[in-house]
Amino acid sequence: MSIGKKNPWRVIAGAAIAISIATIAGQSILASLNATAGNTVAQNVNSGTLKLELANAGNGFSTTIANLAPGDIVNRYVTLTNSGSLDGIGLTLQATASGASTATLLNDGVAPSTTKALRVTVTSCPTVWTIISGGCASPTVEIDNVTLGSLSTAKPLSNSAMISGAVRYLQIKVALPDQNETTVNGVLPANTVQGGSVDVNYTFDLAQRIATTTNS
Amino acid sequence: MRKILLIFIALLLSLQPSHSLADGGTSVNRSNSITTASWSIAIIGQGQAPSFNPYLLTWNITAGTAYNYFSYRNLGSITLSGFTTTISQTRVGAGPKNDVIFEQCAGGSWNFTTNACVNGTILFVGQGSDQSIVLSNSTLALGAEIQMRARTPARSAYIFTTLLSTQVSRGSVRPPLTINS
Repeated sequence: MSIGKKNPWRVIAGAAIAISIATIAGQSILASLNATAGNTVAQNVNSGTLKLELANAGNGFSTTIANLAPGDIVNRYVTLTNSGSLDGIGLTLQATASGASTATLLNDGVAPSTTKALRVTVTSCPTVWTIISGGCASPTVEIDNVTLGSLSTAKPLSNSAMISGAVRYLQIKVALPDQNETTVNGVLPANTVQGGSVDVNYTFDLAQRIATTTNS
Repeated sequence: MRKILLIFIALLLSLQPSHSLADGGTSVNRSNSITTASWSIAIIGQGQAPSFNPYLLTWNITAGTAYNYFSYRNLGSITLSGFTTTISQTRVGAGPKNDVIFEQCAGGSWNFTTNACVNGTILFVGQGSDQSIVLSNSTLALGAEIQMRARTPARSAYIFTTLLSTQVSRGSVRPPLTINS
């Protein structure tokens, strides 16, 4: 071999090596070790339900309260159940009047008018009410003697939490306060509570319990 | 470039949902109706409709006894147990006022020709010229009527009118009730 001359095979080998490395790197093929672990039985994840049911006990809301005279009280009974799987909070009652409702039955008269509107009281009993007498051993007033008109804004019951499966036995008392009016020659007085009517839609609303984070 | 970025951010914000949190709650509702009673009584002439005004009896007596017939009708929605009639007299000329006698034909009806109470009993209700007469023992069901006779004897020639006005108040209907159902 003469000094100063390069071996052509060394050039070719070098080029081949360079091309191979470039090809391998370009394809990103690298050998590595992998290991996996997991549950062999699928984990079940499900969501809860929030469901409120209302049933009449006796007449409940199913029949008209008719021909109330001042001083009259009509007690109706309903059963409220949280039949969902989630606990509920913030139980409220809203009563909205619809149609051509008589204004004097919704809100008290403003002076000089002295008319007194219908009043609503909601009372709960830990057990089923004795409907015929309105009897309950340990009643709890939930909403106390408010005008029907004021219930157009939902009001919370004093015991507003309902756990899953809870049952509330409720008495809905509707009263027309005692008041006197005199009719002259067959003509009813102005702003009268006589001969009035109101169609009421009662709505009970229950919110879900506060969301929780559980570590276990 | 900056403009393009700002436009992109604006578009992204406009696509955000209006409620970022789900409301968890449930409700149930029912409806029912409430009505109130009315108490109302009017005086009605023979074969007439209620006028809802005071009722005028007109008298022009030369001899004997003059009669006028009218009815009280319950126009309300509840039975009445009594009511009040205020009477006032206006006469032409001088002299004392003439008493008018008010009577009811209980259980029967008035014969307007013979002035008799047929198949009934005449009950005295009140007498006077200017006063209030209370019919406190007259139960009147919805739509029912009490047929009345007013009579006055002649005293010389009298021309006068008697104005009747009815009043009925809460005390004339049933006491308050508490109903559980």
